[in-house]
Amino acid sequence: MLAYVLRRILISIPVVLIASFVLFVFVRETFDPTARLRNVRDPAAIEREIERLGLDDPVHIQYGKWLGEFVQGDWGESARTREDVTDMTQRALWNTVQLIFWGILVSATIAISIGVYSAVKQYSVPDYLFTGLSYLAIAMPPFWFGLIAINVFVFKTQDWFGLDEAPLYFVGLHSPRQSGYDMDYLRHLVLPVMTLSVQIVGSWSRFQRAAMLDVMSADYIRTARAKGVPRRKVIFKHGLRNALIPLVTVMAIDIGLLFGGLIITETIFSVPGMGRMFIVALLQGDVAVLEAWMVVVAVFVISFNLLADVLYGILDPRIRVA
Amino acid sequence: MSVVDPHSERERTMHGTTMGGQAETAGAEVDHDIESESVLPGMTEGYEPPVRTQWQLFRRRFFRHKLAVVGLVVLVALYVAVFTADWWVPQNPRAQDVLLGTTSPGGEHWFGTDKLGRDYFAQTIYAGQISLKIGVGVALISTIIGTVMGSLAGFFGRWIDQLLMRVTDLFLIVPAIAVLAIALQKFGTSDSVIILTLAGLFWMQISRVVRGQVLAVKEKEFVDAARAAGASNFRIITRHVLPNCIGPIVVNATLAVAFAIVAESTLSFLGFGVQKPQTSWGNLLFDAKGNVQFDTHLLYFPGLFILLTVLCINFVGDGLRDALDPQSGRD
Repeated sequence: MLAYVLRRILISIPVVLIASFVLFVFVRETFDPTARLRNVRDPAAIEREIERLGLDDPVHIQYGKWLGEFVQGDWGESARTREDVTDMTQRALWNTVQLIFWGILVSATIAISIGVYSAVKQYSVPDYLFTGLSYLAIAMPPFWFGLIAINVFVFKTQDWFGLDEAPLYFVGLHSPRQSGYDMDYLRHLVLPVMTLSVQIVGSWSRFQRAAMLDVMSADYIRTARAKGVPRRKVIFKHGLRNALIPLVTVMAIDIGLLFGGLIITETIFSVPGMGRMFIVALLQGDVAVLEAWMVVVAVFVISFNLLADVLYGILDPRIRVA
Repeated sequence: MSVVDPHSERERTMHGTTMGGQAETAGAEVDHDIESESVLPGMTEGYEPPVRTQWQLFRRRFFRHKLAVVGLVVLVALYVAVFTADWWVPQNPRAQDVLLGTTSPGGEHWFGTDKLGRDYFAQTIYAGQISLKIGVGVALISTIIGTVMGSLAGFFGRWIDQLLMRVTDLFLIVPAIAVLAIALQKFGTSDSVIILTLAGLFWMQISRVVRGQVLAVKEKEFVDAARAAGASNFRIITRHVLPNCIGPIVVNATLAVAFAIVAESTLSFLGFGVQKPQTSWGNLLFDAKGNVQFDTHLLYFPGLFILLTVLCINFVGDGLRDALDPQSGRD
């Protein structure tokens, strides 16, 4: 198992290296880091900036220099704000991790519940209702859902119930000068997590339903029922446990999707997380920040995929990870 | 071949659906046999009736899928309506009436007007021209590239397969939206560039699917038979392998349309997509994102059009999947 994990990590390293090199070349080709100095009176300012960033070197030398410092823990500084990229990333990552954590928790809980219910009560009215809703959720652009949710759950709700203040917030994760994990946090969290989850719930619940239906028609389920195991126990212990296995793989693959969704969610709800950091850095051609973003996302995606493989082996002992 | 008349074919499929999975699979076996016999020399000429039967089979299966039919009808209507807008939309989408300003839907302006007094119905319909064009363009280009690359990788393997797999690996670790935003930041944002960029990303998914399918099909006996009969690799791929991959290809092509429309709108919403003066649905939503409290009609209509289009495409895709895959049982 350990050898397998190590080998997978080793295989991913060149992939991340190539991706980071492509990104580096791209940013250097697209943006001129000295552009903002063009109107500066001091004629030597551009020279100094070129000197400071080492822009005279060929791009692969620049990349090598960046990489050398990066692996030693010096992630450089933002070309724009001169802020230390490590600090920026840490701050942004914490906000993003909160969204990911709640997003996956909420999505998985709802999707599994819907999936199991729909499978057990196949062709019932709620099953059709959930199916219809999941079609809508999958077809809806998530950013549009986010905007509609703001309209409905903030402004419309306030109007309808004549509230003094809106029940939910849609800017950031905390009110100004607040940082606790209390009611205020929750009121900020609901809408972004909802926006992040809606599409995922749609597809995971369909998947869970199919997996559950598959399992429930297996012989050992019939055997369990026949020997008198209570229905509830059959569904949850014999059925659900086995039906969860395929979902684990899908969940791991969708982590990449989640990071894409974070870009949108954090933009709509002004959450200063990784997605926001990416967009701002991209608009400004901030190479050190973009590289940090990419490496962190890649590490996340790769480790979740690994985790899925390992979990797969644990959940289903018949599958040997080698 | 003339022994197989369309009638008996029809009966087989009817059994297939009424009796469930087992009979369906049996029907599929028969289909394969017909396919493989078609490669016998001299058979191609007199092969008309069963070919038509395949098409009839497909049509019958597709039209049984009610939602898919509804989706197809709505989709066709939408495309026709949007691209003939010059002839039937009374308002000019660019005609401003600044004194009028933003108005709610109703009366002369079905979808209301935006803050410059432009008719929002006309704007939404005309914006659909770009969105729908991007959808079809991406589907066409990515399907062609994906099919060619996928069949080469699957059929010949070796370095082209390795290359394909490594490139797709590369794109698995970075979110698609980020890759697209980065690419569009560099290459500009005209609609043809957006089509090429989106296709440049989506062909990989299609080629992966095609590759997998080709890997399975190329081991079948009828491929050996074709080779024994002296068919060239090109002929084997185009005449014997690809027709057997048509299901996944068509389904993924429809999904590409949906992917492209949503991706375009998302990118435009983030500010990387279609730029003024061109408008797409995503572009309209970019303008409307400040209207979450007032004038929400600016927000609702373009989004509803995206939702409707994607929903219909997904229904059609489901219908095609069921109709083209003889193994797929009923849900």
